[in-house]
Amino acid sequence: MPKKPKRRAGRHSPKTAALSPDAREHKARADLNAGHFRDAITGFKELLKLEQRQDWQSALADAYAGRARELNAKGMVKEALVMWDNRARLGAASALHPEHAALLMRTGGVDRVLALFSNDCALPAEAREPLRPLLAAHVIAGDERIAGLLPMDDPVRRHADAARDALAAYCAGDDEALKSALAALPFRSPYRDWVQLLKALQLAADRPDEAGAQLARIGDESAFAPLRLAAQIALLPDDAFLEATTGAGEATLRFACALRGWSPARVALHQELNHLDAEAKPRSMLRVLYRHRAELGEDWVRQQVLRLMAVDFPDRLEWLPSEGARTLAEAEFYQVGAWSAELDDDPWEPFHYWSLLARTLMGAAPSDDDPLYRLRVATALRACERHRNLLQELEPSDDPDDLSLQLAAQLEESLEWDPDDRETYLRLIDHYREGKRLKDVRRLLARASELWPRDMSILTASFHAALDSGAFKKAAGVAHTMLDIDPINTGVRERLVDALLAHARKQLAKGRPDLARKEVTDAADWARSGHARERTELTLGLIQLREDSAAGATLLHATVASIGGGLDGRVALALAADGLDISQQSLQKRAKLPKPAVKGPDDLLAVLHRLRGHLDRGGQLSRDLTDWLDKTLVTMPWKDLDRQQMESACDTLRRCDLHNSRLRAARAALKQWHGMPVFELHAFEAEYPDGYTGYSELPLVRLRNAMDRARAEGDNRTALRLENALRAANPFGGASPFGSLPPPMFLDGTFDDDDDDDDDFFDGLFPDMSPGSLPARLPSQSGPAGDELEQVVQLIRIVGLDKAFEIMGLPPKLRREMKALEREVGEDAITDVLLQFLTASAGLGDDSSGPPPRKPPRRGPATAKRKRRETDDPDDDDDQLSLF
Amino acid sequence: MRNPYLILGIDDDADDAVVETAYLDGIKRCPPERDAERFAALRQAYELLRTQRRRVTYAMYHGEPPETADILDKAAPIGAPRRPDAATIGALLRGEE
Repeated sequence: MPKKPKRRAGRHSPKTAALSPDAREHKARADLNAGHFRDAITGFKELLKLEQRQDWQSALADAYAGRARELNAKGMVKEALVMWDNRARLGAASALHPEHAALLMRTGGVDRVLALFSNDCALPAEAREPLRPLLAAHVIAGDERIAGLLPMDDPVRRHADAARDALAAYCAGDDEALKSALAALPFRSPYRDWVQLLKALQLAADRPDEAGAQLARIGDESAFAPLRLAAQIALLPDDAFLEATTGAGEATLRFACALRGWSPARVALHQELNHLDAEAKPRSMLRVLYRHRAELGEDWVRQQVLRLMAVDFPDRLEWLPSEGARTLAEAEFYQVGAWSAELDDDPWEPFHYWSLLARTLMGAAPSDDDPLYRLRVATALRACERHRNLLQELEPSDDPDDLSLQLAAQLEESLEWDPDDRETYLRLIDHYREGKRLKDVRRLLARASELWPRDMSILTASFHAALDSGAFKKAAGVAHTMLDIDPINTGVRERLVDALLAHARKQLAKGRPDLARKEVTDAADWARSGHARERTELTLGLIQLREDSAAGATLLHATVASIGGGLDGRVALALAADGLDISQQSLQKRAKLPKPAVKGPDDLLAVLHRLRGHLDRGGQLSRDLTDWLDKTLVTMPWKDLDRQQMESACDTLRRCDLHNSRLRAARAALKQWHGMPVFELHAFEAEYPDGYTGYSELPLVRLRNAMDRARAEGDNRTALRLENALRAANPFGGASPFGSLPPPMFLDGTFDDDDDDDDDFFDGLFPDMSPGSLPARLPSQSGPAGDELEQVVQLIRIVGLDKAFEIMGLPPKLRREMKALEREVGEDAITDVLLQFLTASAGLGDDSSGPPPRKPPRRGPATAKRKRRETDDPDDDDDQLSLF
Repeated sequence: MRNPYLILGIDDDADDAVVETAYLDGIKRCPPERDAERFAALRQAYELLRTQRRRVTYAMYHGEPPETADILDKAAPIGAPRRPDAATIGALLRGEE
């Protein structure tokens, strides 16, 4: 028979006995404070053998209590009770602790607690007080004996009937009786927490917050704490409730579930689901679903099973036969495939599955007239586009292999199955407008307008379509309809004014100033905002100016003066004149306008606000106006604006392509806010609007520093813009190959820019030979530079100089200069020059000094071409790339 | 994502009127000031199901696997809150958790 293992030796080694009493006391107290209750008990017991000191007895009592709690927490109730008993035996000073009493009552030792309340007991009254709620709780719990054994005047006995009545009334739902029973329990009663609890439970259903606050008044040491905890669990939100019930005892669970309206069946199912193995949960859930399919319903279970199959599709399908489920039908297979494919980034996969699902549904038609069936087909046809808003993302295309074209075709087809989906019309109309397919826009608008003649989004689309095709009169008509429906819609009013003014411009261009004046007068009737009225008055003045310079000039002077007489009024006039194709020089001359001057920061801010409004309304600026504005604004007192105004100003100037003014403003800002990333960006972009053509690294270093600072400051948007600017300026990804070399003698920087690269053919041939991908393939100091240079020469010969320049990321200006030189000295000579540059770059470039290579910037919205199939020519991409 | 039919407490073949009634009943029981989370869930469920077009779209586009709470709600829906019985309360007061 195996022997019971000996108890672990305590922390008190034989050496401890040799210690002085002070040292032993110090050690025992340290054990007590550290929660080493067993060692503390041993230590203080030994000390008490030396001397019966009161403080040591008290410390031993604390150690027993600590150990008892430890054991109780582990569920070792009997052992805990022994510890409490040991504590109680230490004497009157360690009188029955309420926790000891609670444990006694739980384990049937009620009599021992009751004995403390007999007249013979020397237990002082204040020591009895904390024990009374324990007895009170047991009285309510149905222990009839307790009240009878207590003295007549004991409050536990005196209030017992009211407390029990309260319980009965609560359980019976008799709130009136409950109220009167609770009223019979005084505040200082041992049943006080019971009163709080019942009041909270009454509120639980309708006012859970108040109930929670009421429950919070019951302390953790209270005899009613277990009931309070159960009630608190019942008040938790769903997720927390489910979590809390996982570790709760049976009575707690029953109590909480009753308060929440949970049935025993629900609790049982919840426990079953909670015990599912986390790793195998999908499969376990499948089993549970089939096991409970009678309660859940066959159809519902099938739908959920399909959803469980969507992850790891189609691998999970093999679970079905083993779980007794039927395999997927064709439509189910495509549906699950589509759900699964939607988890992927590639839009072609879901397109494929949704298309197959739609075709399958079409083929399995119960009846062509069934509206639900038709709707399902249409919904499947729309699914791929709708899930990702692909038509908004993709560029319109005429390529039959292009996804946008196929999606648009599917949406068109969906309208044959379900012509009542307004959203589909709007998506298609937007897409066709983007692709300038005005005929299709008009066709769809005609159908949509028939179905929803007074729908604002359809009317808005009609309005924009009319403007797109220059049908300003029609646009005005649509805007009138919109205002009939929504007379206080200021946006529509503005649009109507714009449409009428656009129509006036058209009439003026046709040589009909009379009709133009009528349109402007109509526009003035609709204009409500200050800017709209100013635009109409200025346009009238300009029409007058064409017919009678003096009268027109007077009118215009008056209008400009009414706008403030400063730069804002002058810019308003310039914008109105630009709309009528009147050059600024001609306007200046005919209207005899003074030199524009700003009246202060407010005037300047008003100008910027006006320009923003003009651009927001879709207005454009002619080259003539841009030049005039740039020349005018460059001298403005930019330093008078605060930081936010300056940021906004730079952004407006960027939108207007006013590079000189933007540069001046950004530099003024940098003087005040040194190195501020956003102004560094504006300064750089304004200085090099056509791409960086400098030879110095300094601007790029400034840009990099600004990017680092923006990142450090958490300004991710500016950091990203700076990164894009750097990438565009430094396509080699490291130090510029020209950075360490003197500029070539033939480059004097006097050529104009014209970006004339149209190498789509090569784009198709070399999709990954973009500037960002080049550095990895360029010769390096450690690589076989000669061989790679030879490959580059071959590449240049294959693709031609134009494409090679583009791949190298040469700015258009340099490219043009190279081409000019090529015409003079021949292609071979230029190729040699190019190779010299590359050789120098290979020898002098240091990848570690610059930012790491990055992906090339995107040229525009993503277009999704059909994936290459196995039958495609394998030479198309990779083999060509290997030339590098 | 929770199953909107179960949030509203309606069958899968519910029509527009049933959906609306369930939604109105739900928000009457759980106005936003009382249970904002529940109210938001009811609102979202209603938006997903309020027309036949939306219900078909939900059925076809939402392929999320069921949540535990969905299965519970379907098999044993939550009933009206009840007051616990005296025996349960007594057990808790005696320390029988």
